[in-house]
Amino acid sequence: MGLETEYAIRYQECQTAPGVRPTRFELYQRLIHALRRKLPVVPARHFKDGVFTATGGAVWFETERPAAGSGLIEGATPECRGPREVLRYQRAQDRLVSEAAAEADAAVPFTLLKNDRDAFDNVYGAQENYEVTLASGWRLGVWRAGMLLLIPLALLTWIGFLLLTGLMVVYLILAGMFYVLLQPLLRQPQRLALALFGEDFVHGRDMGCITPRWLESVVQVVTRVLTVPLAVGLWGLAWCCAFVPQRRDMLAFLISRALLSGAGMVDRQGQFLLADKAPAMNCVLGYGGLFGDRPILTLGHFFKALSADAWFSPTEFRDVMRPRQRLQIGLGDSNMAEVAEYLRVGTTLLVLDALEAGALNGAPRLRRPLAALQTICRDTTLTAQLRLVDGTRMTALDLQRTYLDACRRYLNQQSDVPHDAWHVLRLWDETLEQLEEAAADPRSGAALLGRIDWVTKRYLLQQAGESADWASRKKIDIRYHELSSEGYYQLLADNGLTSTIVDDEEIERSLRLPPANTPATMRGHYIREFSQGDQALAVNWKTVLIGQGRHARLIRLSDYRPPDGPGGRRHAKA
Amino acid sequence: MATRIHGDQPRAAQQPAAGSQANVGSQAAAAPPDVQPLPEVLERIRHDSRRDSRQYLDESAVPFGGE
Repeated sequence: MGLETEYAIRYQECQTAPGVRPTRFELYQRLIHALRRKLPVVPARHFKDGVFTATGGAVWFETERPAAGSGLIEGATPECRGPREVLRYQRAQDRLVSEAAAEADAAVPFTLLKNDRDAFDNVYGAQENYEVTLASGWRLGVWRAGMLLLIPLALLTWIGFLLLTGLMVVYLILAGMFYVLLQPLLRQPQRLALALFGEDFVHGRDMGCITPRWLESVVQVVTRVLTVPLAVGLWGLAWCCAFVPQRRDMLAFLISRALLSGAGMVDRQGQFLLADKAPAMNCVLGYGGLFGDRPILTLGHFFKALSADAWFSPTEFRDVMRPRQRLQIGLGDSNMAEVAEYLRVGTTLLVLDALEAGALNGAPRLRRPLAALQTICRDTTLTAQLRLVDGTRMTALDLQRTYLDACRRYLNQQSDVPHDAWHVLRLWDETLEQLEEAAADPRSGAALLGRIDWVTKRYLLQQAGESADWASRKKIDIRYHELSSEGYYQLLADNGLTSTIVDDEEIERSLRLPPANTPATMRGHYIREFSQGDQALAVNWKTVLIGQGRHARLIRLSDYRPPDGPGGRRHAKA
Repeated sequence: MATRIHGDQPRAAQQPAAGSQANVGSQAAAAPPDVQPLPEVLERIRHDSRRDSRQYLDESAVPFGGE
């Protein structure tokens, strides 16, 4: 499993050149430059701009509209094998990127925010990834047959992308000729250049995009039109047979999980909600923004595999056929509190275990899941009754208790349960009890301060006073998540007012070494061994490429086996 | 495999007894000498939140959001 976090960039004007703001891509490049001084880093073998670090994780520049100035820093933890481990690597990543941002360029101070929504309702943030069984039996057969049937659509999409790329090249050539002809006749040729070529070319700035804004908008619309057939086909196939038990039996858990891991949010009307991202969710299954969709479960990685990755590496297509696949959850918030983050991941792992063991039969099913999610987010009393498909009603606390009890029964029947699993279960139970007490008497919520983000944030908002205007309250909402000594959660933590799960020594170790017994172990090993040498090295989640051209060696990390596993370690050559 | 949670601690066959040791959400054992008490931290946050709040919101904007 692993976590992805999109960090917002907060920056002020350039002190040496007032009125000039560096682009987000430039800040990302400066952050990577600072990162290289801290640990070994290599370029990523990927469409996106990014690097992999010696701990096996990655840092990317995530953007939808680079020419329009959009962009986030995205961090991805290495593959981990438990909630405590992923918490260590997430906290190490937070520290790494925030220190790199602080050291990046003193003339342009910028900080990172670990949150999910800005003051203008632009949504981004956290994704969780768990390896689960996508389908079995006849459903797996339908999935595989469907994937084969989607090949022609994928091929058409790829041809469409190639044609679009060709048209852009033709445009740039014609635009260049047009500019050369007209430039001597114009008093302000720079304006024409800006319209034709964009800011990268005219101002010598690096926005990560070689087109003007208007052309970027046109390309985005055309791209979306080109992808519609494949996207609809894949979505229909997934709806029929992908993650069916998870959608049926754990959706109520995921929706009510906001009680534990919601980050809290002040909306435009000044109302406080339990979660930051959840109110933006508009479907159960989707692509994560491709068509304005904000799904609880994301299919974007399947779409990318079909529409792009598979054409460079046919093994990607073979991998999509496997029964075990990545379940990506887009519903959760980025957490500042360690207890909240630990519970978000740990409880989900337990529920997945119980589900795959058949121990969640009869799990509650919400009649209208998305409406229930909105109700839960707006109910700070935690008493709202939610209707189930069988006609009964439960509160969000009741739903969480149901899953907790099912997981406890499941663990009690097992003979080889790690200590961490009991730890998660006990902390889950304890936290629900404290939430129940707080719901009955709001004054008793002190036990959750510094442990649950929405409770802590709501407390800070209450302390801000009645005279605080919306902007001040929204600043509390957002600056709570700032990864600097001035961030409000960090202020609480620096003064011993928050709870911890992992200690500094664990985080320090996670800043240097990858997790054991995962693909990250080998990835980190190769990065550490080869990043400073003469041979070129490029890495992605599945492969390591050493050298260039005919003599390059391709090592598949899926061939990695733990030292005590069957088959030993095998390396494949290009 | 009983669970996909691969713990760092030695495995236990049974649920630990209620009074057993556990590193569960522990508060810092000893706070550094220069820490501020909660009321002072709250006052600092309250004061800062009212300073240039609109500017802060603009500086932290994320045009077009993310994935």
